[in-house]
Amino acid sequence: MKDFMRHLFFPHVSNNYRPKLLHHKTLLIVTLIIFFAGFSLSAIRNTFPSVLGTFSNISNQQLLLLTNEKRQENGLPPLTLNSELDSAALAKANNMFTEDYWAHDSPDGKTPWYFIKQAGYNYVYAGENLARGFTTPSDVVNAWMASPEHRQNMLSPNYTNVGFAVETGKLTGEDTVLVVEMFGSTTLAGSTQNELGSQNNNTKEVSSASSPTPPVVTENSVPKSGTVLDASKTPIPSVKPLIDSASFSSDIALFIVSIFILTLILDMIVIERKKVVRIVGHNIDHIMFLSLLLILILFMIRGVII
Amino acid sequence: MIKKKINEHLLYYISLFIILFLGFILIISLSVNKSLQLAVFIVLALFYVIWGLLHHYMNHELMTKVVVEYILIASLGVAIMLFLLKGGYGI
Repeated sequence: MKDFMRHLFFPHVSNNYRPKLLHHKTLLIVTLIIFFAGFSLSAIRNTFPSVLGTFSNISNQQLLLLTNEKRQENGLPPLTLNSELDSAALAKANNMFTEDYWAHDSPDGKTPWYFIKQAGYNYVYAGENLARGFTTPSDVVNAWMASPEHRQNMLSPNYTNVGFAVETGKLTGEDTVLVVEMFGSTTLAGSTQNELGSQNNNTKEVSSASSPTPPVVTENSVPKSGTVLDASKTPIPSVKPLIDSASFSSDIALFIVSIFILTLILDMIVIERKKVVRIVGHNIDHIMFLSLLLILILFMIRGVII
Repeated sequence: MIKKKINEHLLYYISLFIILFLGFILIISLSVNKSLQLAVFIVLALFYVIWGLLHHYMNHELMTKVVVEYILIASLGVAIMLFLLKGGYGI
């Protein structure tokens, strides 16, 4: 075993002073195996979605808990979960999957406020945060808190209610977990119910996180029909697979790239020390290229917010 | 010795670093389009091969063995990226 490992990873007389892993034949075989493994994983995903697929451990209750924790840490009252905002968030998520867009406004011009109104929520203030590609609720909330615009929504004293939707589906060509957080308030900030009574014709909108809109007075009447839009169009059946394909494939990719980088570094150091003359490419080039790949994988597995 | 080698080819390594860094920025900025990310990475791998071989050629040490090595390392990188995006994200 020791000899085999040395032969594979260490420049030695047995491998002509070049680790077997870096020999052309081995590189070709490893490349082909990885290439076909990618297509095999894809086939398994499609054939056995209950085994391999996309899922997250994010729930509405966890998101509510963490959002309120952040608000309380900043001396703000907690938000209450609102079923109409939940419906609006679900409708928005389904619309994003159906029309395949990653933005606050749909390609045909539907704003977040459209979904809130459709859900029957008579808002005075409203806001929206979006996230995709996260696997834990704390990652989502921390990402929002790290962005000034999203943080502003999370910690706005104007909001009293919140609604969430966590949906899995194919968005802009990739399977992903989409999180929609809708904020709202049916009263003016700091106003009493009596004050509201005299002002409830004014509907104010505040920003979705990435596209701030100044408060504006909009229509007086709010449609109340249709609490959920396209609710039946859940893009991917909610089968929770045994293995999360994104985590699984990224772990394997990181492992393989790390092994090659370490082998190249080891080879470079040993050969320099032994002053062996070989005709090979520059290890530093390969290390730089594979390090780029390593960093890319680490960045690509992180979620995105808007 | 390694330090000496880097110093001898400092300009080359800086230029390679810049190429890879620009590619990295471009790929990260395309974070919501994984197919385009893969396409940019393939182009980047191609640049890496050309740049490496050009450097070997200028130093009169370009041989078939070296050409094959660069192509194989670049192919390995592309295969790993494809594995991640196809197998992990279903592009």
